[in-house]
Amino acid sequence: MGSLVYFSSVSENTHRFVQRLGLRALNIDVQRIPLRPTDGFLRVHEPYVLVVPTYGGGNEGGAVPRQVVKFLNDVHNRSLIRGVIAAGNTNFGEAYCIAGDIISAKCQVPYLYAFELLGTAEDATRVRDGLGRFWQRQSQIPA
Amino acid sequence: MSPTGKLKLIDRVSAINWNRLEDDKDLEVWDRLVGNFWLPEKVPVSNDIQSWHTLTAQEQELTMRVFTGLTLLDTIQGTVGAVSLIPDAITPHEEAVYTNIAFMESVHAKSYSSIFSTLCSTREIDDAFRWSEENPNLQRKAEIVMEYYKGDSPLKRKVASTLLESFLFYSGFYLPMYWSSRAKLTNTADLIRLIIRDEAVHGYYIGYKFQKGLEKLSPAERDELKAYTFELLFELYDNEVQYTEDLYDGVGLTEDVKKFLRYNANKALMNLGYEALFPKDETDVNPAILSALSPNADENHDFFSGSGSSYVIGKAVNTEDDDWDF
Repeated sequence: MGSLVYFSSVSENTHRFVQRLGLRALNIDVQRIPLRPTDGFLRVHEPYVLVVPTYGGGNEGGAVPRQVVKFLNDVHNRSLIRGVIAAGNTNFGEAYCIAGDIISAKCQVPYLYAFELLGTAEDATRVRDGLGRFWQRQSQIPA
Repeated sequence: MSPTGKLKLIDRVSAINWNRLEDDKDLEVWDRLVGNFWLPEKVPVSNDIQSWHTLTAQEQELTMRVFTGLTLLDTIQGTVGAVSLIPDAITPHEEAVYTNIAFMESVHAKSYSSIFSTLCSTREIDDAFRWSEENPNLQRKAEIVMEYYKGDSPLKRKVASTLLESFLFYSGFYLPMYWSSRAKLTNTADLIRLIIRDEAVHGYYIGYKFQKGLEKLSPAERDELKAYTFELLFELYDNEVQYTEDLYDGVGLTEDVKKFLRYNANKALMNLGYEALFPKDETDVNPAILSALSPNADENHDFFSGSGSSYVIGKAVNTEDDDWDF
């Protein structure tokens, strides 16, 4: 089975969404990218789906949190990403959940799902069921 | 409220040191707000003059009433709401962020006037402002919020403020998105989208500070504030429904606007750290409105619901920092 890696700022929005997924019951490991660069570095060892919030949107870049960029700049970490899920807010117009587009294009992995803020109950169900099926299919692909 | 009835001022001020942050979120949000700064003069609203004249007299009147209602909310938020949060701030940087929010709300309020002066006659403008003064549901909305701004609970003030930023504006924001989806008043819609973007950052930040405040309370106090939040939301929602009927019944859009209200009420609650209240089938916003708000919102980013035989790779985006190493 694969795992799930996520980043959440001190607002804890994405953290709360991930907690609601109850992934450990599905045997999907969950790991969090450290909040600050000084908090150490996360190195992963199995395939994962990345869940990431989109920052701000607007005139400047920086839609992907810097800690996530740092995590993905590591070749080993990057080699294990299998898909991305992004959070955002439609108020940001064209930049809505754009972190998902950026990471999907950069890493050439599918953009699996987008949700707003903490996600609704429906979002959580969709993602939980979807991830279960996703990893099942991945395990059936011959090496 | 202090005995004189004046808003409380902060007791003591120390020189602000941006090189010593207590909460990184303050700088992050400050940078975001400054990066998103804009002025209405940059948006060519005059290109909408022709389009404005394709609207019926009733549609023009509706549009102006909607914009005077939004002007009132932005004026409250700029002059009272954001300012009233300053004495409650936990860090000096938080105080500075509120001054930024207050100023930007004043920019928003002014931008409606620049739309008016571009599109309408002085008499029409005066009539619309008079309507906003006399509409009981709009005035009630302002009163409810003002009451909490003057009250003595810092966290309740933040709840009221977040609900204003993330919920109360949307009965109004609906209309320019509706026009935009029918290729009308598209430059005006561009301006409103800039306001909508700002309100998202404001709601997020004030809601975040509310949650930081909650952390210091006992479970019982937290429960009380949660109950209060939902109570206030329901009170405002009932009023919002009536206000929406006042505005939109004549053009037959009321039910569509209500969905948009509930969708945004959910987002306001989420900004405060609470779960969404209204279920999916009551918040299924008209896709044309959603797409006017965010062109990406209707793209298929639900790989899970498909057969799984094909998937979407995000489109190349050229707005990202060049700090990737690959």
